Amino acid sequence: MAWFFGSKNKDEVNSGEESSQTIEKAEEKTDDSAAAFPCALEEKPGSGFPSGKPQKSPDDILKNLLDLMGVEYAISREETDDGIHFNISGEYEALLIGKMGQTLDALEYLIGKICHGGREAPEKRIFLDVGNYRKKREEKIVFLARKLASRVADHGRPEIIKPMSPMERKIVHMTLRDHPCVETKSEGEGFYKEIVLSYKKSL
Amino acid sequence: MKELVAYMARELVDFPEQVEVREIEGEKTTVVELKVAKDDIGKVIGRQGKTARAMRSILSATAMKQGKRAMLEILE
Repeated sequence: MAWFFGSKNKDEVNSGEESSQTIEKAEEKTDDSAAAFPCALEEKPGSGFPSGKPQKSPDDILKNLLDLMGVEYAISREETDDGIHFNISGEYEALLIGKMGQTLDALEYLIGKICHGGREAPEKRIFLDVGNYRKKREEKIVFLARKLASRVADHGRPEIIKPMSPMERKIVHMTLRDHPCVETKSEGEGFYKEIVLSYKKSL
Repeated sequence: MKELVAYMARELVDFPEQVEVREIEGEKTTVVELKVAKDDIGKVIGRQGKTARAMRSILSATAMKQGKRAMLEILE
């Protein structure tokens, strides 16, 4: 800014004497701003966060990640009691969702991890969706769970739902929680587990 | 892709200035090597490798967009 004003003045004034004065002034101003700069930098690290680490904005992290991935996007944002919901739309929706929602889960997890550090129960959880994929998927899972449950109820033989992420398993468990004769159980190890629907023995 | 990995790693660790990323381009596959401070290795790997897996998923999607394959290796 100081440089800009200095050069502007120089153009307006014709006499050599005065122009050298303006240059001096301009230099003075640059010195001032240079002195002010380190202060501005020092303010950044200590944002008064208990762990000493400044809290990062999920909006910025999401945008930076999508920029670095090289995709074009539009983001809608909604803040509710349970957390912040982002919905991304654009040309590369399939890519951002990935196989079985893998990329979407990864982005959601990573943004949450960066924003909340290692804290277990953050006050604002981050929810990511791309082109309403999660919503459509939830409807599909509820439909599948009900269909398989009625099959188990009819035949008494257990049915297995192929491996799903914890959030998707939760949908199945919640859907069939009050089912009169079918119980649900996650089986396997790791992040993706199968769900077994079986006939309730203790009736 | 190098910038993407470097960004993710720097945001996760306690010592961002010690994050080093190297990209080794092969014919079909690009290998991205990530090196962080010794105390930060756990942060980029995560519980049961969850964070590393998330970074790999995002890297793979980015590579796929460019018609490539990419692998992330975390060096000790």
